[in-house]
Amino acid sequence: MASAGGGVAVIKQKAQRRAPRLAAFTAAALAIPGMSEAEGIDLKPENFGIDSAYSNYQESHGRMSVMAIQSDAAAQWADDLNFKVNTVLDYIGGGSDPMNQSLVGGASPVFYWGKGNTYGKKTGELEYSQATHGAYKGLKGGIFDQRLSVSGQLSKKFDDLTLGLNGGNSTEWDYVSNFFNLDGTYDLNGKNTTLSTGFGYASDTVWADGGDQGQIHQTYTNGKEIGGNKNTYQALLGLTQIIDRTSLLQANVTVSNSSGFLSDPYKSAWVNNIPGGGGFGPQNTFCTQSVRFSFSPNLCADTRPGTRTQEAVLVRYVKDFEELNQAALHLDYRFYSDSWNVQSHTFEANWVQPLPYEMILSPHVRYYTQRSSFFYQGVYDNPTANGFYSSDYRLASFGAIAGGVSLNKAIIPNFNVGAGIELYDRSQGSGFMGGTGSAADNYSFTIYSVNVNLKL
Amino acid sequence: MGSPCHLSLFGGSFEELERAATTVLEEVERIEQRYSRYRQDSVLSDLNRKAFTPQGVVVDDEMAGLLDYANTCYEESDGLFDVTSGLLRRAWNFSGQAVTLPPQSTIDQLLKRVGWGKVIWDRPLFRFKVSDMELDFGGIAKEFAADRAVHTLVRHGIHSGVVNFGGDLRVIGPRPDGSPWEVGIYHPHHAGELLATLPLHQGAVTTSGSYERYLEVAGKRYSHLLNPKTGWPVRGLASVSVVAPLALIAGSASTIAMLKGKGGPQWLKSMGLPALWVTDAGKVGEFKRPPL
Repeated sequence: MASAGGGVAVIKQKAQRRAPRLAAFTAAALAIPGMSEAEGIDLKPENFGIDSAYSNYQESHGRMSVMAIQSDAAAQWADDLNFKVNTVLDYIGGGSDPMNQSLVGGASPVFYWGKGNTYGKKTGELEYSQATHGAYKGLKGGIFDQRLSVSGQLSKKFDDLTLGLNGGNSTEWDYVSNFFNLDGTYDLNGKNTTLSTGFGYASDTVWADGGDQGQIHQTYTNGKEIGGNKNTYQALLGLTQIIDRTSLLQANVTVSNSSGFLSDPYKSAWVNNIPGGGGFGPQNTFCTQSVRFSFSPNLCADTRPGTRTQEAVLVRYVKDFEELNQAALHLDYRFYSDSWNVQSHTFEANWVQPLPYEMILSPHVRYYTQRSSFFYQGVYDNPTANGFYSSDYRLASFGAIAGGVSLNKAIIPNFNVGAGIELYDRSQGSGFMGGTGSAADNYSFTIYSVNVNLKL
Repeated sequence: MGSPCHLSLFGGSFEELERAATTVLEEVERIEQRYSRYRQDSVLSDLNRKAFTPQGVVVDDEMAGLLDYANTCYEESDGLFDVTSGLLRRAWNFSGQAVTLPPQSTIDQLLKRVGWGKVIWDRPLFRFKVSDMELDFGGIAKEFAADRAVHTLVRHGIHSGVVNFGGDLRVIGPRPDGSPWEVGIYHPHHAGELLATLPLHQGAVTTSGSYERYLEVAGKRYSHLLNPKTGWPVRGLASVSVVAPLALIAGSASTIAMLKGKGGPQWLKSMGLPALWVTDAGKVGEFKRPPL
């Protein structure tokens, strides 16, 4: 390269500390006239990478960290027509060693059967009632998953009526969902009353991730793949009424119907008094088993009815207190009921208190009580006549109390920092709805969170 | 250029952006005029006509730089990236439907006029050793233009934006709030679906794939990327995306990886750039740079 001169030699020398092949390409590229003259551009590959801003939230035992990367591009087609595309990439990593039973609880708690456990129980003796494993990561299990979601929204505004259409696709290692929603809001009474209505449909496919980022699907012992399709229809009707200058009332009714594979692909339940005797070795002949949990015939794969109809009513009251520095009170009550006999009540109160120095303090408290589904048991005393088995703690009877407080401060305009603490306690005994629950499902946790927001 | 080109720029004033964009378009037009094989009056077409003469052609610095780069690509790809292989497209019609595959004799005839080993490149002198050869900068010019566009914009004081030339893109700088640009990469086997989203603060990402331009004969798919040694379409990978500081490097790397077929992932690892690929069978792989 006679005419390139000393510049190229220097670049080549620096570049060769990196991979020699990349160095050759880089040197040749930078030697082309006009390629190296960019001031202010950092061309060293080690300075860039796949990094981006993320919001970080750690559970009290350092378990789950959620990285949310979000962007959206909004373009206006016409004054009253907006098209927006969202992409959200959530990377969910962490989870714990499934056999370490001192780390239970969390956003998606998992309970593991105590084979070889550290609680002083005999080998094979059941410690917890439920066996589960999450999306696959090597042999350690835990929860490891990646989700990619793309959705689009279209909305059109007429005088008092706004219609929206929203649809998209969400893919994880063990789940694909295609969905769309239609919604409309209508303002009456000079905007003092708003009616809203919505309809949605989702078509999902679920399976149990057996490795290779979901390419391998787990099966039952009869060879059939665990999982299947699930269709959900949902409808909503809502009313928001402004009561006076400082308060409003909101009421929503939602109904939905799901059909298809509604069981949990990862969970199994323990059944006593089975034909052929229990322990290890004898074949299971009375229920479906997942291959992963077929080492004992007492374990039956989570099997739930193929349809579920759900209804919920939400009532919310919001009041502003101008005299208390624009503080606000939110009171929520929600009633839920479904065709699996699950019923629940939620009572929640939030207080938003602006403080001097651009700070906002938000304490809140929530009480929740639930009745179990008709087929739930912590441990089954006998095989069931209907063939349903589920020890999923989310279908049990229980009560839960949660409370917390967060504090946010604006450092400079458009830049906020916040910190919060949330306590949660779930126990079988603190519900009032009866039904079946298990003290083995009790847990509590504390979450600390920190967030930073910058808006330009 | 043969593909849609898109600039997203953030700047202080609309006039400033307009001025910058105009300069970029002029630069891109200049590159197109010089290196397009579709234009009879381009510098490249002129070279193609005159290079098979005893005295050859003396080329200017920019053409020389590109020829040196093409030479590096040839050597580092074990001869698979070859800017003389454009002739082979005459045997394959990738834009329409074909009923049959080209006869081997047609390919053999064309192969006689293909091969970087059949040129003499002794900067600044360029010569073809065999008649009726042709240089094609199709794998280089567009990416070079993207990098030149970015450098032009930076000189104009634009530090935030993206230059997207037909799906190969180079970031000028992150968004004004510092957040990265989210780049979606299409899944080669599921039309319209995204395979991944990549956040980029700077640098370039290019994707080479066999899923947009191909030939289907008797139910089998033939990619538009041809192996210059055999004249036949390559197999093995359905798409490759590479991240690099320059679009030129990312583009060459993703093309070479595709040309290497099953050997692509191994080659990408030796390159050391972040890369994502999908095999013909649908298996997804990636290479993340180890921390330095």
